Amino acid sequence: MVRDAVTARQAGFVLCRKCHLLCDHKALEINNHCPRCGARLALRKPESLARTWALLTTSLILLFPANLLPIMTVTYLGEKEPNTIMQGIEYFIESGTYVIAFLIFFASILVPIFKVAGIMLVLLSIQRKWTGWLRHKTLMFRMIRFIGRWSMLDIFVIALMVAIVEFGTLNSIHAAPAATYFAGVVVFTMLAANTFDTRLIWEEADR
Amino acid sequence: MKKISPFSAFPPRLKTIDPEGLVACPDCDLLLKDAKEREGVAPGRKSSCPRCGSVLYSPRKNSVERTLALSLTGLILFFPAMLLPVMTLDAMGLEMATNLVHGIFVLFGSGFHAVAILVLLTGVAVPFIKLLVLFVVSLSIQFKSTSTLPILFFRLYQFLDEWGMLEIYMLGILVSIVKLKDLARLSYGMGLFCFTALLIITVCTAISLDEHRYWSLLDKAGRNT
Repeated sequence: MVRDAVTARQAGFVLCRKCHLLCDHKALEINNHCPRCGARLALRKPESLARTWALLTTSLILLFPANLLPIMTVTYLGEKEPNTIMQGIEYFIESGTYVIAFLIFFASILVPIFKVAGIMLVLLSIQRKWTGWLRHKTLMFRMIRFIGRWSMLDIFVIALMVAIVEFGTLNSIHAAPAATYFAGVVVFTMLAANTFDTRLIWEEADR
Repeated sequence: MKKISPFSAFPPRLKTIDPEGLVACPDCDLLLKDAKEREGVAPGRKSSCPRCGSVLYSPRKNSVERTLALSLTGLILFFPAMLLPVMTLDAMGLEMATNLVHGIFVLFGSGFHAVAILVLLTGVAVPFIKLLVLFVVSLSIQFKSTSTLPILFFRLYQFLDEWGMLEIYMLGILVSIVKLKDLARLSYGMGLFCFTALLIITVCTAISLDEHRYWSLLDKAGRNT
């Protein structure tokens, strides 16, 4: 732990989020843009908490249809069978490919839930001014950003399956409504992670 | 760490900025003094923020040359990887070949516009734009161009970075293969090999890229003339 820490903000500097140039805070008053890369300068990401909450709530709502509705319809010998994400995982467990079953379970179920819950926890801890576990919270957030993209796995699998399995009406695979909702969950959780400013985690403790 | 008084030591300098010897952590805003030593960490190693662990510098060897070569290789591989057949499915005498963009049209045609566009962007368009932009930026640094366009391009690269998802697409291909191999006979096309090569090249490009060095080179290219 660094004692007597001085932040860039306290010392009168503002860091450009894009190119990481340390700028004098007077640049904020003059034209608001980074002299090196031209990006907009701000001490903290604008309206970070409100925007993150909004995007996070959207993803939380979308999580329900994404998991409860069928994501893929498999037609085998003319018989239609809608599959939810969970049923797709069960199929892999039954056929004995446990690694793939775990992979999809991880990417499609665990990661989105962990993401929403994790960001929520960090947001609450900022608003409730809990100043413990700062390093761990930052680390958790960094991990959330890193693994969040992998939820796209199921969407890519669907895109490939619909392309290759289309033997007319007898045998085919089609996307089903949950695909759109699930894609929404991935996009909105990624946006939520982007609008969040990790420096807010440290702000209360630095005061 | 000693307290640094806000303005006495560092009179406001506009335009040139980057206050000598100072660096701030992008994740926790901690101000650190020994920027020069941190920047000079050996290539392949990292210098991290002592407070939150965020990586501040991770210099790469011959970053510009390597990135230039790798991004060009990626651009050459891109079209064969996307357009050649990835796999051929043989079920009951019917042969079906597919490439990586075909699924997008099928999804779009069956009314899943948002999903199709998302796959198009993350799986095809963004990875391509990333390679192209990186190639142009590396080239302009190599030839010491003074244009400001590379600066905008590099910002675009950073903006798009996490939305390029080739590695996830690859995993999707592997999962599909496992899913389909019980259903019918599968054979693999040239597209799969090109895509694998493209993925490896893209990952190497991301590793060879030293963003900090690129920014300081872009800064010099635009200013010192």
